[in-house]
Amino acid sequence: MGMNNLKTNGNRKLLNILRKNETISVGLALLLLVFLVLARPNFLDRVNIDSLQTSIAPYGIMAIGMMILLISGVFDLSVGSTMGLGGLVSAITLTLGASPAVAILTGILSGLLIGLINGLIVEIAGVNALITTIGTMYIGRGISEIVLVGRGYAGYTNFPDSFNNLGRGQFLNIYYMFWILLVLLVVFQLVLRYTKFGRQLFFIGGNYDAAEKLGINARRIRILAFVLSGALAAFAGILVTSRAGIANRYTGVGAHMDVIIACIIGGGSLIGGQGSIVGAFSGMVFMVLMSNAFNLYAIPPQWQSILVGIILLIVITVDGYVSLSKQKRLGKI
Amino acid sequence: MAMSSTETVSSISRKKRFSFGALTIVLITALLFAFLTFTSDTFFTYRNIYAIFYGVSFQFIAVIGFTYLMIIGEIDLSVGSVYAFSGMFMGYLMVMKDVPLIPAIGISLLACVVMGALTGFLIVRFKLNSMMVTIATMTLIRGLASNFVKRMYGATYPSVMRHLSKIKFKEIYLTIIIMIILVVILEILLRKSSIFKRLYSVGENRLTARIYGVKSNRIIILLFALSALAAGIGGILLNSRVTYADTAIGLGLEFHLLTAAVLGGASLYGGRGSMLGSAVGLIFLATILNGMVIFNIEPLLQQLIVGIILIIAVYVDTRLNKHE
Amino acid sequence: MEPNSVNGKSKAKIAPAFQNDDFIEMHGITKAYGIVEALNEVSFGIRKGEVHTLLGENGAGKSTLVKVIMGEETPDSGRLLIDGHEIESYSTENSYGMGISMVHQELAVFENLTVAENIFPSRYFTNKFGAIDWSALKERAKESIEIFDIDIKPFQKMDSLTLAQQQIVEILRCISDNQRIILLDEPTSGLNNIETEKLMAIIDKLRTEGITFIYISHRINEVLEISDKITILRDGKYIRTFVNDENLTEDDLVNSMVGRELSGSLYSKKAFYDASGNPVLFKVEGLEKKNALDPVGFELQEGEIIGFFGLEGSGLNKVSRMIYGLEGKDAGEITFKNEKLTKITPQEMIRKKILYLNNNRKQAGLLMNSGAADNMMLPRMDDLSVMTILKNNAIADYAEKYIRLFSIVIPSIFEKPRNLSGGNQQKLMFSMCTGAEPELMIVNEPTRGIDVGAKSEIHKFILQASDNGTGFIIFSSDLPELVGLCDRIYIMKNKALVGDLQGDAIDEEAILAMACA
Repeated sequence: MGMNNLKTNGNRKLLNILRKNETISVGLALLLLVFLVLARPNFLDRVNIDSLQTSIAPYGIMAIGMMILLISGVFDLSVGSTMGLGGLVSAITLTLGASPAVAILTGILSGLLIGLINGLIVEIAGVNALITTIGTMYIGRGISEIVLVGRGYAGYTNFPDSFNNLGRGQFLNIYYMFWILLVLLVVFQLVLRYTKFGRQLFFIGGNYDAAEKLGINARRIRILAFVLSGALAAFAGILVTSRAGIANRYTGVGAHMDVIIACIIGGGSLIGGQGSIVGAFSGMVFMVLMSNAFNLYAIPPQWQSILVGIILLIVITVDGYVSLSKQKRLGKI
Repeated sequence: MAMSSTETVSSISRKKRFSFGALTIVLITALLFAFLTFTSDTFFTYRNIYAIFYGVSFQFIAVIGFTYLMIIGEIDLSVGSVYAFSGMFMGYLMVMKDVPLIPAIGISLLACVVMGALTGFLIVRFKLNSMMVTIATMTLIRGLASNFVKRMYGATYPSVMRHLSKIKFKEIYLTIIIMIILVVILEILLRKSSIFKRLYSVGENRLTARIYGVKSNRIIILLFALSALAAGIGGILLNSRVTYADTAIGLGLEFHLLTAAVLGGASLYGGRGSMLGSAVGLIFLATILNGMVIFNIEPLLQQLIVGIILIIAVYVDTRLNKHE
Repeated sequence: MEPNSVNGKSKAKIAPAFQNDDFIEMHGITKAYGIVEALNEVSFGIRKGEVHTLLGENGAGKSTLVKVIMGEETPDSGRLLIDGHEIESYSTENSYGMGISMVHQELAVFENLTVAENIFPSRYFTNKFGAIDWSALKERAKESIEIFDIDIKPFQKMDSLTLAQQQIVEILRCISDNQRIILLDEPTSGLNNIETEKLMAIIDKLRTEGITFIYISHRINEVLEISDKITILRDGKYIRTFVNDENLTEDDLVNSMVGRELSGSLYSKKAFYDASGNPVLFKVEGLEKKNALDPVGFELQEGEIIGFFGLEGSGLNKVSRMIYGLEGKDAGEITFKNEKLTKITPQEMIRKKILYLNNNRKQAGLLMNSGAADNMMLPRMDDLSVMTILKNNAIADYAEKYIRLFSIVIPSIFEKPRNLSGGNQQKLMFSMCTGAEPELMIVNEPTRGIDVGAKSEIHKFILQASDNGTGFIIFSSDLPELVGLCDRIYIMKNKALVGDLQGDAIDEEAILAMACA
């Protein structure tokens, strides 16, 4: 039984970076960014940059939550409906006369609650995450509809400016929500890297049984992850709502797909144990930039789906191929 | 069991204990029917029931492939997209490329089969997770379908195509007749055919099936192709019914089919499922929605109810099957 | 070296089962799984800072005893004491709390994480802010790695390591955990000589620091090198404990491991069938696989029964799977009835009338949740159906025929295997293969985990079938079984074929000696 060939330190470092999952998404995002900056002058227009920020921020926040779940080995398809509900709940609270702060808090709370329900059903009742979160997605949509009864297309509108400011205000020409995203990115990156909770997510996703044998309370941690995902999704919905000034039934519809796809491109896997905040962010940036690129070139959006589908297939297949060769190398197959 | 293995056996029973996997859902649906009949005048009319069956008949064809995949423990989330794609591709060929009816059907279905086979191939060759892969294909195919929507500029499908879903045989829509025939045939085959026995063995224990010579890999690829074909046929018919390329076609279909299949006895963990069960599951869902319309319950509440039903159904399934 | 034997001239010193200052005490530990008694009144003690080896064949009870100590299994009766404290309830947390940890054979690693995190999975090195201190982790990991002096970096991803390296990391985890009692189950199976030497040195050093080692291995020279005491288990019973001094020899150990009362033995050895003139039925040449199997070659002649023996990690299982096509091979040629087989897949094998009996019926080989008839018809489906429609009467006849043939106790042909006893399950599996009228059967563990009566029935079948012309290749870790059934036995050790014995040369001790060390 021999040992690995010696590699020089430099080579090994480079190889390690290349092997990291998020390299693909960061690379893709950067490439696209550079391309757009060079090729399309109106990319850097105020209007465009604004639109980019207000797309990346809420979806990026949701991607953080989703990535945390993916690392621990589960996922959440209800984030889209939670996004919608979060916006709605805060809108309703506002309409009932509460202050923006309370409204925002209540909205986040609703997301927390949905996340808790998801977590309990998946971890305690033992129902498969796919089914559970599809179910809560339907339930969430249903509740949204109920709440919007009689309100017509526009839903809730006419929020006080102090509320709308959250979504529309800027600091140093960058939207508040984007700053918030950046802060959250840093916070959760720190959590994943420097807290016990963060590391345990990886253990659970990597080898659930071994993690439990180590005494890690896998169920509790996953429930917490669901709760975080729900809260973040709701918050994203609040941001979108306050920016648009409208809380209606269309917020967040289909968002779960974009978020999951962004995370998979960014290095997460439905199997669990891998992923990173950088990956979530760059995956989402890539998705938004691509959408933007399609707009700027006036390419119909369906090509986007096609391209995303192809990229996703490639990422998944390559990931599978690498995994397979590792197993072969270890003589397991 | 401490029974010695060497006691002599004098008589061995040949009587098959009656096991009916879909029994639960049939009973529940029957109860539902009864309930609605007694509480509403408009439910048990020929017209209403007919409409329910007509609607379900389009979904049924797609659920065939879906159920088979669940039996072997895989899932295909792209059925909704294929559903949209097949009809739209066909419509595009006929409207924009003047391709006649039969070739258009043929080309479109061929495309579906190829896509399905490729999906199956990737999953088998690289040992990929079918959920992840079919999320990708779902997006890809939906994009292709939307492409055709655009290219047709809202034109309605040619009348021959629109007529497909309306063909009647002795005053009953052909699709309903086909559904009933297929349910009967496929259900019988599932119980009595060697091919289908092999499917169940693959779903129950893939390695065991392999040991006894079942070509698991080939079956998986075949079933993905079949699932795409079934969704393709169903999609052509549905597109025909809707009469034009509507972007909403097929959205969320996969989850609807999943709910129906699980209600009908299929399990996410493989090894179980029946055509009759899935068909009745579809009828059950359609009836619930129908009932809610009759009672003027918000269509909005419908999603809520379906979501709750789904979770409960799978919860029960998990309690029963996960321990095995 | 003079031949020694326990009965005669051995100078080996036998230790008392218990000593005054025992750190670990086992009294009357008994554990049965169904009718199989894995442990039967095992009683002995282990001192602190001792390297105590458990020696015995597969099925002797070592792994069950280990599971009890680890808290994974609760004994049916008996007491376990650690440092004077009796274990009241058995759980992995309790055992861990008492300072017990283990290096498993199936690695419990986290491949998605780094080496350092795998060495210290439960230890979170925090700095004064409560955050994880990665450089401290790196330093500590480095220290541990340096003990072993191997070329892996602390922050290398675990999945980039070879199996051997992963094993070392697993060992490091245990050692770095500072637990008081470390169980090592075949720790050197993936290591080369240098690495093995290092491990021995580390164990030696830690022993002086008071850490107690329970060591399980078949490698007798290693065992003789490192152990203070060696306990022999056989058929679930405690046999004796040897003091490992200069008088202890390999023969002493092997004799104790085997030493069955040969009179009235369960397995009367069948008369040797000399098939040397007969045509070759099945031939394998150069079968190999990187990191899993060194080149193996053997042949089966018509009319004979050959067997393969090996202990854990010998590659036994791999060979059986590779020749049937359940696993891929890197190289190798297989010839059946003088025809080279081009496609090695189960389908092809069955077509050629070669059948395979799996070694773990709970994992594969039986559909536990489908009826017996459904199981039986699996390999014969095409014959039992007309245009793919199953002929129910033919199937019922077929099932009934084989149920009677094998005397399977089953109330109905639709009964599910999971409701049957182990013996009946095994017979059912056998009938599935036999029903396909094989010309050759590759049998992997023919009688694992079943009662004595069923065992002898299955042996009778094999002999009868062989007389009627079916070829048999039997892979088994049950030595007496192989000795009783086979005309020739190949021995595997450490992923390689090390020899074969034929006819009168077949001798349990000789075989075991070849399979160990």
